Amino acid sequence: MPYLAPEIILTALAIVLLLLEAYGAISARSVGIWSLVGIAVAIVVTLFTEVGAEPMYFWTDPNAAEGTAGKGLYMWDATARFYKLFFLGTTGLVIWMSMESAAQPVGPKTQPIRAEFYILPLFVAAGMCLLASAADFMVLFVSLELVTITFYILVAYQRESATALEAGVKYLILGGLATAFLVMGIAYVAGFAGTTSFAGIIAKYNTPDHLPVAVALGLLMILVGFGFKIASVPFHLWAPDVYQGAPTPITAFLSVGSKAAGFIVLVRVLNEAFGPTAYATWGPALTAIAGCSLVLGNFAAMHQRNIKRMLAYSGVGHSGFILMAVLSGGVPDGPGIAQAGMTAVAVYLATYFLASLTAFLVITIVSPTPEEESIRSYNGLWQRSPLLAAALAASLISLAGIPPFAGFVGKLGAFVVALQFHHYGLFFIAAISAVAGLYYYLGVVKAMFWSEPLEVTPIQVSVPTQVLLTILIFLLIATGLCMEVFAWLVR
Amino acid sequence: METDAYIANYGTIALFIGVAVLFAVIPLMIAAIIAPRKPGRVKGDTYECGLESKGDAWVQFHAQYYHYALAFVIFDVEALFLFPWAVAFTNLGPGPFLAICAFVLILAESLVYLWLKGVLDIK
Amino acid sequence: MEPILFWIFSLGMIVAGVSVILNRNPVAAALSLAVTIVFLALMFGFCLGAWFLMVIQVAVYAGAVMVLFLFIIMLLDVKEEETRTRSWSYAVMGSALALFMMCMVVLVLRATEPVKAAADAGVPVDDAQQIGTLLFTKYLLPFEITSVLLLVAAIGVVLLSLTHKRESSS
Repeated sequence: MPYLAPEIILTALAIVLLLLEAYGAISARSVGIWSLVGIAVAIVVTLFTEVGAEPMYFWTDPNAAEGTAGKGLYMWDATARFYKLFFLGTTGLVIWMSMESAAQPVGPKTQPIRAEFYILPLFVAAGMCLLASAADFMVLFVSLELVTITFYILVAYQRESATALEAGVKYLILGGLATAFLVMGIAYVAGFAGTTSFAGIIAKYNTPDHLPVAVALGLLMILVGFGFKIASVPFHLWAPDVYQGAPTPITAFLSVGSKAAGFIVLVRVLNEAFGPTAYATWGPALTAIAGCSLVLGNFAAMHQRNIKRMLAYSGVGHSGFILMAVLSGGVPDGPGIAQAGMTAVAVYLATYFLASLTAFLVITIVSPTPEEESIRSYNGLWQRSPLLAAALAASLISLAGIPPFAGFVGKLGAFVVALQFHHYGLFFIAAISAVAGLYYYLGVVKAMFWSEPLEVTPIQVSVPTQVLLTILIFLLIATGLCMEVFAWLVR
Repeated sequence: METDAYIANYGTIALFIGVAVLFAVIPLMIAAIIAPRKPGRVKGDTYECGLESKGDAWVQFHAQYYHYALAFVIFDVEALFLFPWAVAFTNLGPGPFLAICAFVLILAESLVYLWLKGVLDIK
Repeated sequence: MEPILFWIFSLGMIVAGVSVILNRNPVAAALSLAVTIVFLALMFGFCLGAWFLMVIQVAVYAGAVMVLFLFIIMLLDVKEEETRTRSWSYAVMGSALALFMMCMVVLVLRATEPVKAAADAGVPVDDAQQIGTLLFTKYLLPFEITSVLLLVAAIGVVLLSLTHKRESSS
């Protein structure tokens, strides 16, 4: 299969569906189904594309004198393939959630789910797949903007409700600020390196000396831009309000897809564009960010009454754990980030993907309106729908990191990396935060099984979604039990 | 660049700008000094091509015009991408030609989409 | 000679920039911003020899983006904006941020060799053609992505600013 195939499939499908929809030739529901089919095709294509070594251009100047070998824009290595599958899976589940919420009755102030609501995630998926393959700051920036700008639209989708508008405006303004930092940082780095390609930058700055001041500053500004994407302290301020105000499928997309997109570009830049000597610049900064994220995220989540806000703060905490795994550089003559760190990040994200998306799928079904998003609405969920309660319990316990479930493997990996690279302080903070996490995750589980429900009407779940939930519960336990699955996934 | 050549190049432009500014400013100054002053309500009104003016010019616009402005920005940016292509395309191969075709087609789609959705209608 | 142009343009930029902040009338502030942008464009062209960049700067920022600004302002109530009181905390925060950015630029400039502009080298450059060649060969992929980005923007216009008729079908 040619490279770039998944991106082209997704974009072409989105363009065709958009045109058909504009002519009124296709219903919103069938657009949703076609989007799912397109995602499935893209997943198959990605699985069957061989991993290539060299980054590539798609068209080079025949008259150019300079050689272009090894300085391409787009690479398809094992990491890229793993993250592409990750993003495609996320998008598929998000579209599924959107179809689930389209089936629910429409309130007076809620917009019905339109066809564009299924089409825009395809563009996001294409952008994220490009991010997974970016080998040049140009591609990185344009793809990141494709993702971010589409999210601006999706977050503000319910524009008749005040919370959604607030979420949209907050995401837009803080996102714009983060982009400004990112562009400024890229301008500094590329301006002094004389190239935007990762290979060119590392060739210039992978020396035993420290980075020049300007490049170090540029790198820090780039980290600010990425810090916003992964919602880490102190760039997390948007997260709780945006997670609460956005439609639930989009909240899931932000919390899993957007976060993972932030991490893939973060590890790409630190690994491919900067060598071990740059660790002196980003190491201390990321250590501080990780520590703050762990503490603030997990302790602020304890006091939340809204389940989406709670998951927003807990997501900040998870960013802290993943950053702990990122902090594995600085070995002289080693790579920017050690292989152990890369693997730990990927495994953590994979477990987070399963657990978080399962949780949001249940939330989409149980809380169709903002009023039903309070944690009290989950009291006695076991009596209303045993399957939903079991799925949410499995995902929350997994997020908390308790052994038989997938989340434990992810946390274990992050902790091992922290010990391996001597981040003992961070290890200690993370351990305390993980215990704090137990408190609020298990609080919800307790409410679901041992509290009296506010209302006793059983919740109906459609048969395909029942099957999907069962598969997700199975995966949450199975991947927790045999960790070799992850070794196969990452390779 | 040599200083003399520099003056020869830009000096003419500077002279033009200077004369143009003076040409506008001097009559205004003369008018301000020698014209008699009799301000009135009709005189101070907004000039609307000879019609009698109605209300203030600084009114709240209808939000519909805003869609026009947004669509304009999208196609303005498109036009800017076409410009460097037009200048460079003689020594580019067939790949860039296909790329610009795809680019224009995608933008054409956004025009069709905006049209069908009624952004271009003023109700 | 060139420093003279540089000083004229920077002075114009600073005066217009300060007037953006101090003007109480939003329309006047927006027009001052347009003037700032035009001076910046002139600097690109005359001091750096980046003529195409100058054209882009004027067409996109002074043209399209300012139109958007003015539309937004006219959608709001201009007179109400004028009566708003200023907040000192914003002024202090803004100044601190500006000072920080300035320190950073100074720090960077002191630590590094000045980069030579294309015009300084004495070689006349056709920057539009160079940009075009780069954009359509090496950077073909990001260029193609921007077209999708613009399409998404069009969808955003429809979804976020158009009043939809409520359909029962969906």
